[in-house]
Amino acid sequence: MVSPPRERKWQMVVDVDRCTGCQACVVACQAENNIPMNSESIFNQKRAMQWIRIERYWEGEFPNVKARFMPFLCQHCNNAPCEPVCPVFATYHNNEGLNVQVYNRCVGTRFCQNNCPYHARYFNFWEPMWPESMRNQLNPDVTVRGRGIMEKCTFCVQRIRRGELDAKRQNREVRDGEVQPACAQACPTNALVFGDIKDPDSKLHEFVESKRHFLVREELGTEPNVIYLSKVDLEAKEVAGHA
Amino acid sequence: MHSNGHHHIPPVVTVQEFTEDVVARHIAIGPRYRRALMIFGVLFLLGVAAFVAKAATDGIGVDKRASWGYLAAITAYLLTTAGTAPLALIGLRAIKAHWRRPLARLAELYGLVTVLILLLVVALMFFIPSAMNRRTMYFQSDGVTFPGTLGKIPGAPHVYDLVLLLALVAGGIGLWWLSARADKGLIADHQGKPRNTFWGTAKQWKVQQVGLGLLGAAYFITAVGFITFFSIDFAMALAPGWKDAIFAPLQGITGLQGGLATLILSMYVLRRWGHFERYIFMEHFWAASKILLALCLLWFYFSWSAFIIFWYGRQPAEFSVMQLLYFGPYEWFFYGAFLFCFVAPFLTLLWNSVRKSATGPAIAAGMILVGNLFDKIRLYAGTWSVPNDQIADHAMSSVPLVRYPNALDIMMMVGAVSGALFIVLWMGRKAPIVSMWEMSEGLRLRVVRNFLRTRLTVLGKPE
Amino acid sequence: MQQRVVLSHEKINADLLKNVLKAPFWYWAIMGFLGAIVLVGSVTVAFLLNKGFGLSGTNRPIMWGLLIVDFVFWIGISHAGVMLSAILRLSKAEWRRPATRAAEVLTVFSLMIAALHPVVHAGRAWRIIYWAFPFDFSRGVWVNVRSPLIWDPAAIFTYLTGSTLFVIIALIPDMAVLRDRTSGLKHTVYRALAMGWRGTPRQWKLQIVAGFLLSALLLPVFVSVHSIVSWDFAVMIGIEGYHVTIFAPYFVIGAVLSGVSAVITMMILMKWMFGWGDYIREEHIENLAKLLVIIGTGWFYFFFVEFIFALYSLEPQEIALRELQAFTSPYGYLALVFIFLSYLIPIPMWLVPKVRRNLQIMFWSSLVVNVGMWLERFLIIIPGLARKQVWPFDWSTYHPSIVEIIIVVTAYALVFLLLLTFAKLFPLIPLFDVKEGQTLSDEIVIGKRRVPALRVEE
Repeated sequence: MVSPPRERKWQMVVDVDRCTGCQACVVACQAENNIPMNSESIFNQKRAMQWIRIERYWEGEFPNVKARFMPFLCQHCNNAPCEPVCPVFATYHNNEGLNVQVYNRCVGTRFCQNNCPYHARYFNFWEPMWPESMRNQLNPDVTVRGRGIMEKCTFCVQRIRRGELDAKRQNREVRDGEVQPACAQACPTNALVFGDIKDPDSKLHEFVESKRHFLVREELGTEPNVIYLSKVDLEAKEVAGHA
Repeated sequence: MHSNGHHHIPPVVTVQEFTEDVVARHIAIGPRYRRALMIFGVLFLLGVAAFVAKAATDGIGVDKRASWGYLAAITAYLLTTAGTAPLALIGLRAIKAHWRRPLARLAELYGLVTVLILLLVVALMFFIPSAMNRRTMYFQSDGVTFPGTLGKIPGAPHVYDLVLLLALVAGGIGLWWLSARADKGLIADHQGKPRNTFWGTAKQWKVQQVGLGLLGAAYFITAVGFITFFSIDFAMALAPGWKDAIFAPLQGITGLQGGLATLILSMYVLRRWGHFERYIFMEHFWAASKILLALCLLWFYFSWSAFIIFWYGRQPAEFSVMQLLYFGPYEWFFYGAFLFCFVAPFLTLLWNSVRKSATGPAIAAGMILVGNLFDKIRLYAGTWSVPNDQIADHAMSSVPLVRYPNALDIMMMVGAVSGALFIVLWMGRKAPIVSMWEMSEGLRLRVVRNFLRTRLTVLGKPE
Repeated sequence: MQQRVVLSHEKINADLLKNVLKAPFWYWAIMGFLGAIVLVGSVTVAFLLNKGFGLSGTNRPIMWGLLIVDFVFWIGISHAGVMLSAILRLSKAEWRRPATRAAEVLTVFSLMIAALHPVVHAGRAWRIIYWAFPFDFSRGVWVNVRSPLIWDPAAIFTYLTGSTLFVIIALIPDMAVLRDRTSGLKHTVYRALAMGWRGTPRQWKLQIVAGFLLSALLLPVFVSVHSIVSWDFAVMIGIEGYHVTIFAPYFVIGAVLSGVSAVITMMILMKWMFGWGDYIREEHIENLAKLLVIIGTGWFYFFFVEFIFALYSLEPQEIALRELQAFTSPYGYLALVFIFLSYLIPIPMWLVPKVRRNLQIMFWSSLVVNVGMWLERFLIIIPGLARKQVWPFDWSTYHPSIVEIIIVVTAYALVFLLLLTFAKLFPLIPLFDVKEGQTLSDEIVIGKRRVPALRVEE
């Protein structure tokens, strides 16, 4: 007797207070999702591909300089501005709350990236290349994209699907913490917490109800599925991290 | 294009016949005119009384704004119907269209209504707070609440909007005066009185021509400018979260549409009840209705441009504005405006046979005048009902409920329109109701000749 | 002053057809030069499609660059045709006669070139060509009609079809004239294009009615095309300075300004190149310039309102963007150049009748208007993308690459090439229109003045 799976809505909590800016999440994401390697010249061209990026801001004058780190990834907005503007339906919202990118369908008009207020989408300006030795590191679960295609964070949808299939085969629901995207798995300080908000046992609930929680650029009405927890700065007059 | 094969040759009238006819009509006035004047005068005074009564009961002040929305609506209505009627004339004079001639004096008379608009705007000023620390066309802030500012301009927005309106009033009076004095001399001749200023020398005609041209351009620019400032400062700025760059041009288009509709309806009244059939005929309505059709389409185009941007963006602040103005408390006024400013006149004026009649365009014009009123009510009564303490917020926290007009509001609105008609009727007696110099010029430039095997009108086109 | 010029029909035919029947000596030289540029451009496009869009100067966040600026510019130029032939035909302005066909043809060609830009600009151009077509080519997936990039081709192709039909219908009587004056292969082609025209009253009536109907139907299409192109930008919430309601009429009136200026440039060029001084007279250019003064001032009002509204919002990021556009190098210098070239120099100059009748000044002033309007499109599109977010981490600058510059230059060369090809095959001034103008012109005597007049059919 197999009961239908309950509704799922994947969300992520990003704790800015815990983030140390180590960029382990960036590296893990690059490894998991077959993202092309970014050389220095690509960074200079401002075309680096980092599905999750750590924005670093310096505050204050020497010797009271502080570094602020803000991880940014696709917010998987419920009211995504990128979705209505794609002419070929290469991006749409699936019923688990994910904003999905269909690589085969993308024609590369780059309209979606222009409309994304979080800057979370990346375009393959060149044909992605890896050195010969790194080809073995490519993840077989993830498509290798060609040039001219937009891509972005998928909440490691391949891991979500794997977890859902495993759970279905074992006739149970996906357990909280069983499915972890690469970035959340790699983060040494547990700054990234991923889960299903519709799961009553999910760890997310305590974070979502935290006093520190905020949504980035909430006034735009995008309704993101990524919730940020602001930094606790005892010396600052107001809580940092609000945009 | 002739649809049935024969040419419409308008009645041939010599300048002499025309002058005698119109002068005779002008000198003799009937009891109907005096009755109309009295009725409009009484209604206007009742409107003033209603204003005083409302001031006593509801009070005057920036925080009492919510109950005075209908006064703002009728002011905007007069501005975009009577105040913009001269714009149609100015545009037509600029392109030297012959069919403007019978409606010239009417348009100039409507320009005099700007005096009444001035009084109304002064009354409205008491409900508008200063421009400091809120969104207006003057970008005033102390630098803390909003970082981008123009510093402090004392008196904004009241003083400067008023100065612009005074310029408009001066232009309206000037346009009428320059044109009327040529005819006043002619009337004086026929009454046996001496002419006091205008003797028709070449220099005086030149001054009049250049003056009307320059003043016309100035009035056009000032009218568009004042409508911009008025609609922004007196409507948009009062609704937080409403940032709509096309709103002022849309009000300009509504003004052009309302002004032309006013003129067409007045032309029809003049033809039918003033018995001016010899001088106002199908050609005038046909030409005017083509432009009215274009303006209806432009009204839709500008309205749609605003709507699609808000609708597509799905932003919460703009969504509240859409609720207030389109689909929320004032939705029936919006549907009425949409129906009567676009759908009904468009479907009416689409047909060539309707455009080639006199009643068709007049009906369309009447519909537009009704639609314009609905439009102004939803815009001004709507935005004026937003509580004053929200005025500097990023977005409306809640959409205010609809406020229907009460008896005092209706009396004020009727009084304002009656006041405008009173001014037109009263000042209309100072000079002939059709501009004699302009019509005579047109009659001289029109000749009927034989061509091949038919008779054709030949229109002179002097440079 | 309007001169009343009387020319015989034979002279009209001879003058206006001379470059069709026999090409002037400089013709092939210029065609060769333009052809070379187009060849270089085609090779560049092929190279771009082969190597990837990384060859352009775009990056993240400035994902739309020079090609999109050029796209909007050419769509703008395409608005000349309907403005002049449709609106002036409907309002029966006499001075439209020499300009109509040249304007319509400019429209058709600039639309075609404009439509190529988004295709070359896409990451996978070989897919967008048929996936943006409203048909479920692959796996039953239709196009997304919510996307402005689908409204674009719909509007552009409707306008292109309508304008082409307009050109063809207006060409028919002239094709008949050519049919009767050529032989051999040319005769066969012109005979086919003339579609059996004999010049009977019924055929004339049908042709005129068709012209009127198309004019009236094309007017909403023409307004919608540039509005839809403007909504490519205005519907976006992710970029400061884009989400503005006024974009649609602002772009349309800017397009009319740049399009009609381009027609003035083209007409003066036609007069110099083909020696058509009897047909393109000072009064035509003067009236076009008067029209532009009004349109230019209307455009300036929209530009002013659009800029002011950024300040109206009192939002710091919007104000910062306008500061970037107007006061920060390099955009600030471009903005200064643009506003002087587009409005502050030409329009006040054109208020003086003597200037309007001086063809040298009109040629250069109408040309600089278009330079300014090209810069205007650049300043609308690029600075907003350069400062895309509110946080500075991803801010960038735009350096157009040589590939993009070559493609932009090729677009100009291609339009001129197509125009010159058209001039060789068909008369650029409508013969029957000029003859009709002759027939309708008349004179009235009032006192001692002879006033030029028009015979009016009701």
